[in-house]
Amino acid sequence: MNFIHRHPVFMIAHNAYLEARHSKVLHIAGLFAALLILFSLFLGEVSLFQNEKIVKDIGLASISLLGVFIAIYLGVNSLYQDLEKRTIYTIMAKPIGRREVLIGKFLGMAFVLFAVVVMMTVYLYLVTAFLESSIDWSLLPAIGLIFMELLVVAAMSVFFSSFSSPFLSAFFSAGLFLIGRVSRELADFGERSKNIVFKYFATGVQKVYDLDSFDLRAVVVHKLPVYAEDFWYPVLYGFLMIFFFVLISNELFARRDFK
Amino acid sequence: MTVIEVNELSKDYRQHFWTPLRRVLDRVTFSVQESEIFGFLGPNGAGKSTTIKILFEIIFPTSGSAKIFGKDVGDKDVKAKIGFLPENPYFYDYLSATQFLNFHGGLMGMDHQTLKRRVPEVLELVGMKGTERMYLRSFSKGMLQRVGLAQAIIHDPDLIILDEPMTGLDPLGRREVRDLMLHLKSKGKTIFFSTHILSDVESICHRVAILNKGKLLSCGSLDELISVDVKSVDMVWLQPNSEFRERAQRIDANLIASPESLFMKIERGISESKADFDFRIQGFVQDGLQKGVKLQSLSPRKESLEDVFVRQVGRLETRV
Repeated sequence: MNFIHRHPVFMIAHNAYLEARHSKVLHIAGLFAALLILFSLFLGEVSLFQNEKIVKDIGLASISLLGVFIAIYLGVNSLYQDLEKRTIYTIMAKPIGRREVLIGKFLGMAFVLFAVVVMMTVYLYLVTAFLESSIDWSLLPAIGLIFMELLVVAAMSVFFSSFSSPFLSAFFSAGLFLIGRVSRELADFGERSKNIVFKYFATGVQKVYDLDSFDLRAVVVHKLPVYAEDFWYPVLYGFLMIFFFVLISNELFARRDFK
Repeated sequence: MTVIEVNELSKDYRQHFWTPLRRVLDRVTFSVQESEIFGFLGPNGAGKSTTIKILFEIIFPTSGSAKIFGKDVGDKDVKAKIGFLPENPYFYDYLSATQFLNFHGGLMGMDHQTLKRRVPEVLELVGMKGTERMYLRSFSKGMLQRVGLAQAIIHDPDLIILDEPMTGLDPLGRREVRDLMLHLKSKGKTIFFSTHILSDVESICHRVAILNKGKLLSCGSLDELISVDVKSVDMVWLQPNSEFRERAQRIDANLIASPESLFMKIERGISESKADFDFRIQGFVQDGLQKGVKLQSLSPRKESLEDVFVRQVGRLETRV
């Protein structure tokens, strides 16, 4: 256990976690998401017998929204800040490889995202406690997949930040996230398109890149059954995506000059 | 034993992908020996930091090689023996001095017990005793420089590389850093540091390398670089009569005259031998004394490192 605690990768991860914990931007974003969930209580009041569904739907959407913001913010800034402020110089002088630094940074982001999702989940359950007498455990698979999707987005952002500026990285990451979220609609358009190139492109994109598969919100909110494959296939897919993005980021990061 | 061996090191940079390549380091070769203090001199933009960055694989060379302790610079065993303080360091300001040193010591593979003993020790060594619990965000530039120095030596490295370590320090702080370098040297450590503060180099370095616009202009011991010969003579004459004043104006010298005294600076000619220069000065002094003028002082001036630096750097047309 001590070996793990003292391993350079985990020391970098722990430091990245501490760094994020001191970020005012993340505190404000968290407050905003918390207010959004609170606001859903009032929105539920004006809907017809849909109180709980509205609160859960907005609650899950808030966790996802806050998480995606944090994943992109940390993903594009964490490495960049170290390069820009040159804190990376003293780290590079230590017996630690560039790949270990990048993996450590990513693990730190994963810790932050995990902490955020756990806190927001507890908060959502506290809010729903006003409406229900029992705890709705069926939300957990949806929350698990939200967390998985956040890790994918974070890996994607780290990938872009390994070769471009924070602004461009954020732009690319947000763009790729949105494409992933509408990939099924894109495929539907493609199926109906007469343009053969667009048809194969749109359906092809959906086959390899589909962030919609992480979205179980509608299923759990409407209390529909969640089958094992609905959860485990996206988890496996998520790990593959993370592996892919971290692997390429590592190769780019290992070769570049830190000016 | 050779500690650092830099061989034909070159680095080309491109500002943007559409701009042409610019050579910032041009076939630089030098070596640093064990237990010496080596000064790496050069004006801003000379390529000092670029060389140091290559030694830590922060950037990669375009051509040439660099070895430390006989191994490639990226080797983890080698890195474990080096301490490094970058130029204008910025550290994680949300950490306290102890947390910061624990983090860096931990990355060096130091265990908890050793760090517990070593952290107060190094803080005292850099004159930061009592700041253990203070956060880095509350530190002044000079304090950051000192705590940066502490992280560079926390693991008791054999080689310490410091990039402009005197930057941001007041005269007292500079003196303390100089003393610390001498203390480390006395313990057998090798110190390689870049600077453009020549007095620091002159007072503590064994050998220096002078770099300008990416080219190595010279490398050697201070004795080798600085000529021991007299380069000029300063004289102050009291109550000079008009005959002597006329004589003084006829020879090639810088003069500052007042009714009561005459200051003269006579420089040795570029091709003038030491014996000829001595003879010329002797003759002039005897002449003055015979004319009844009182010689208040006569000071032979040798070349300083600053003279060497200005002479060498001045060879190239412009500075960046």
